Amino acid sequence: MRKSIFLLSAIFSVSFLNAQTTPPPAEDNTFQMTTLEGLLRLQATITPAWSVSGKSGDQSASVSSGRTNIYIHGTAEYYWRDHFSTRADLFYFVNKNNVDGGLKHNHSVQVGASYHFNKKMTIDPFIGVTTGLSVEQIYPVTMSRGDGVTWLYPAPAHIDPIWAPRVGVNFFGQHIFHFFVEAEYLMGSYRPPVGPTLSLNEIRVSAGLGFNFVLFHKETTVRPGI
Amino acid sequence: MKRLLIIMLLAVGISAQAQNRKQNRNVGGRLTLGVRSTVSLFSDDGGNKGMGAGGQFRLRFYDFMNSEWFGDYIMTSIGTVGTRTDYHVGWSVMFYAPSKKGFKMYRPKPYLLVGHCFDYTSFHGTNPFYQSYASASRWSSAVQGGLGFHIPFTEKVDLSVSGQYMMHLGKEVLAEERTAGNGDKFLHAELQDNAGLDGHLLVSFSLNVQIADLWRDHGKHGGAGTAAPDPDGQNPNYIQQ
Repeated sequence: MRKSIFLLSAIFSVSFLNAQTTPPPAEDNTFQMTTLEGLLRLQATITPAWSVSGKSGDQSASVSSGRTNIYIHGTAEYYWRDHFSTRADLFYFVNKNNVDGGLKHNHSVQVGASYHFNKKMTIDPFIGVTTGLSVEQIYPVTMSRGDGVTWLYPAPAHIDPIWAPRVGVNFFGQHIFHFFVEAEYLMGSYRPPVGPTLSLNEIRVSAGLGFNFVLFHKETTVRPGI
Repeated sequence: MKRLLIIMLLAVGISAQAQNRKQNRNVGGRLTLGVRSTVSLFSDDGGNKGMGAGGQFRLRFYDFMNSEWFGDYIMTSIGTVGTRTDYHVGWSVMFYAPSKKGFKMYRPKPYLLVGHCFDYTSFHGTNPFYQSYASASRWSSAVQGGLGFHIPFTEKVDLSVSGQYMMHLGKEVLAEERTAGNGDKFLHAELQDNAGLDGHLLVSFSLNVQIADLWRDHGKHGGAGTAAPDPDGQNPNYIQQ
């Protein structure tokens, strides 16, 4: 009796273990990718940005005053499905503009989602939207009163909400790397408690090389030829 | 020998539990985490549009009932002379239509929401030359109600859009643009003694990801492990998120 119970238990244990085993890799010991599902894409690049003449209250004013801003831009994007991914972006402002009212800090963190139009091709065009927070500060700015008195006012740093629609394309042509190019139109306003309200609107264009990582691997996760 | 037998039986039991747990498809107990972007479209005082960012988590109680616990940070310009900042911390209960339609990606699922919120609002004049009566702040409590819908992108991720009217009960703040003798415009903000109602319409866009399933299936929806995943909408027993 004991022997039979032992035998039955052993058989059941093995079958459950089998049920939970991950499918083995392909015969040539390489993963066969057929979709982008489960892919984590990491990228870092240098991003130029051009301001758009924004509106601040009744006045037209932009935080970068028509100058090209430069950011270090990092992205992590996870593909939940072939056509849908979520992403997080970090922008660190690099080229400070040390003049009266020039831009000193403009760093942002964004989270969002993208829809991908790929049809099992290596070219992956997408549209998306991100939302987040930006911390900004300008160098002391000259403010004048109606009677002619001026004050070089040190406007404080401030955290403001931002959002940005984006469009881009990824090119997956290699195992580890991919190329990407994308543009986002960032919208928001710098609103310090005291000091000028300025538009943050600008177009940011990023391009470069990204890295592919496969998480929660399924047999069909990795695309052939990548 | 007995010990070995007991250990093996326990292993079988645990494996079976794990299998059932993996197939848990009842929506009760689902905990999701999300980020949100909120637009304040209009307010009772005719203020400008505001924009905000925030976060939320949702805990689903039943198929027809969900709860949302949120925090928002909203900035609004007061003409060219000041800014208004709103901090919201609150919760809402969401009610879904009692249907058993199969899960299908991209199919919107509407809901009704009502809730309660605490709010801290501050007003600041932006002109540094006129700061004598340029700032005021208040705490208030609010109730909100509205409509929304989820669009599921996967079984665990959805985009939600909601519109709700939030009505605050608290001390009134007088915030108005004034003109100085030299022609400068500035904000005059002053906390009033009397209490009053103040409301605004908020439209929120949020992205939510399921991070946990806090309790197992029980009851009429078949119990643990009976409803298989059904991304194509072919299984009528599968309950949409």
